[in-house]
Amino acid sequence: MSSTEQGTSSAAPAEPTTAPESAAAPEVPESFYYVHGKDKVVHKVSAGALQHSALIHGMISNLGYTEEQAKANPFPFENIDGDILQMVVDWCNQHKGKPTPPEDTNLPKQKEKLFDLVLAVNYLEIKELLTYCCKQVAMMVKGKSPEEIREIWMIPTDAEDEAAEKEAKKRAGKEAAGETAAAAGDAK
Amino acid sequence: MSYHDDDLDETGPYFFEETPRQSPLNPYGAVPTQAKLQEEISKRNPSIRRFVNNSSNYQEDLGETGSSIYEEIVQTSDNMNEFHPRQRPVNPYRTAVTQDEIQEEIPKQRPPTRRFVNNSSKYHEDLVGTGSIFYDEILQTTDNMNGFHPRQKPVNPYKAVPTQAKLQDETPKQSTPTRRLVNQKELEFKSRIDTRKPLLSNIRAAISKVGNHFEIDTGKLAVVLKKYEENNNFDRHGYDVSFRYENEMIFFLLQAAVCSLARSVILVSPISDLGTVAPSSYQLALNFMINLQCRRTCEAPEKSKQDTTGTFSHNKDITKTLSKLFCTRFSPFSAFFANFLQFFTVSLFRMSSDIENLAKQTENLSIEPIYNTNWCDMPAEIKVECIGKMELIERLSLRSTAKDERSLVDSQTIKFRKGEFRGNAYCFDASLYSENGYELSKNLTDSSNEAFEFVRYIWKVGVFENLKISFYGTAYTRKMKKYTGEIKAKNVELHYEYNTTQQQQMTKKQK
Repeated sequence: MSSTEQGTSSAAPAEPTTAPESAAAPEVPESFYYVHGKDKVVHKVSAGALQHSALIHGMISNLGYTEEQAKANPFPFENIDGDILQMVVDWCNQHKGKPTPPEDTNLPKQKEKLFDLVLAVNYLEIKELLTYCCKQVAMMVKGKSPEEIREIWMIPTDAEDEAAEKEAKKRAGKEAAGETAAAAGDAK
Repeated sequence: MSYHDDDLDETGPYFFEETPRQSPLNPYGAVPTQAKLQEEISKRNPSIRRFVNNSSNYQEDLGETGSSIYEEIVQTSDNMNEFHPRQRPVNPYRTAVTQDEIQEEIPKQRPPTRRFVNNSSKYHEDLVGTGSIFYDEILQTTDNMNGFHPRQKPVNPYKAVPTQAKLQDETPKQSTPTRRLVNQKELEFKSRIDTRKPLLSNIRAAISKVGNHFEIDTGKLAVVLKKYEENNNFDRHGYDVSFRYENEMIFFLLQAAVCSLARSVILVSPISDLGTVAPSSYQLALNFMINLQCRRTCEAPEKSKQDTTGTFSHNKDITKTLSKLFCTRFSPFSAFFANFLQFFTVSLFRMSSDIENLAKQTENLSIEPIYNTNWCDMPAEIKVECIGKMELIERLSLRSTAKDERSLVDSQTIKFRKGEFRGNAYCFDASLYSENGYELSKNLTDSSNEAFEFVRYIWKVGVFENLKISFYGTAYTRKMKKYTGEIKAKNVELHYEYNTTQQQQMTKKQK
């Protein structure tokens, strides 16, 4: 379960309100941490949910953040889009303390976000979710021809690769020549 | 010419009674005076005057002769022969006695000459190649004609005129323009197709947005497919697993290519912007469209398959146009294409119903979503992870896309529950059963190299629970013997036609 605040990192995060979370740890109050992505929207995540992410779990255990410190300093993930981070947080909350199912149906239906999700999950080191995402990626090309795969995944052909390399070399050569010319001009 | 008394004395009256003595070359020997001579010339030999008028050289010659005597004429006659040596046999001065024959001959010969000159100077060359039966006859008369018209030798009318009838028969066949198989627009469009790109990206050039829907131009599609076929750019490798024969290959290539288009709402435009494309190209497009329809029919829900009546009227015009196109194109093959047309028309009705249903759901359609982040942005470890989740057929397809992907795919093993490889002198079969129950069988009849490339790859990347190998052909056993790589398998069963020691060696190798 998650409660997401639509504000900046300076805004005070709201308390969790859903029943399962409070029921899950009635005696020991669960600690919460805060994360935000590129859009600066802060997401409140329980420590149990964040256990899925090896990266965040390591940060928490190594830094020894208290809840107040975590509240004041949310974990920044500037390289992850806000909606992608929201998906990850949702998934972590849904699978908190549960065995991972063999097939996950909660993965994004929009295929264009799948690769972003894969990159985010890979960065956050959420192994189970990465496995599911990779399965989804593999399913994208099921029954497809090489040409279709090239088309769907925008894989350049070898000829296109070679042409791109040549162009890159030409550009690099021109830039180098320009720099040397500029340096010679400055020296004069 | 003068007469001397001595001559008169010698001959006496007899001279006047008998035929006067004549020089053998002098045609005017019988004419005693110049006036007589002129009269005789004007009477008997009008052709000479014409001849004199025509040729300035002759006129000069006559001018020189004027009213001169016989010897001078003889001299000019020799000069004439020098000017026109080819005319010696028919020199009018010399053959004045036979002018009647010439008069008879000229009207026959000259008119065709003039016609011939006006028509064409190439008849001679053309006729040589035609093999006309008159050719030999013409050659025989060539020399005579050259006597009359020495300058026209290259365009001998005798060669042309008698075969005019023949030419009339032959010329229409030769000069009729051949049937245009490729038009200019088609050529221009074809030149813009880059076959190095994926087929689908070029097919996009044939798709245009008309109003709220997309239309695929059948003619452009045909040209795209034809160019790919000509360049052998149908990427075979990915399809090489199940199908071998080229025709089948193309068929299934097309079927595979329509998969992505089948999910999109694209109408078929039977009228092409390119006009009438080549029939061979058009045939490819028809195959493509039929496969597209088959795919859609298979994938569409049952309800939409049955709902075909409502769309009949809607697509009547398209159907009519399409029928017209078929009829004009394939009328000589009516028996075959009538059935074909019927099938295609029915397919069109079904397709249109599918399209109507789908159009309601997806009005603003993009053919394929364009991702900001894609496969190429993935790090290699994630790619490898994804490849690990793929079945063999997808791996083979991915392997065929680019070098980097090939190396990544080859770096990963794939588990098989069971693998069977059977080969004999005539055929080769490979059956693979994956852990997920996926079954793949490949039958390669007589191309052992191709078969063994596939087998080598499978042996390299495969991890088998049970492996069964049986070879009973010399070619196969020889290649088996050469294989030095590892095969990862828990249980191996080997059957092949070789001596025991070699079998033992192979068994050791497998272990």
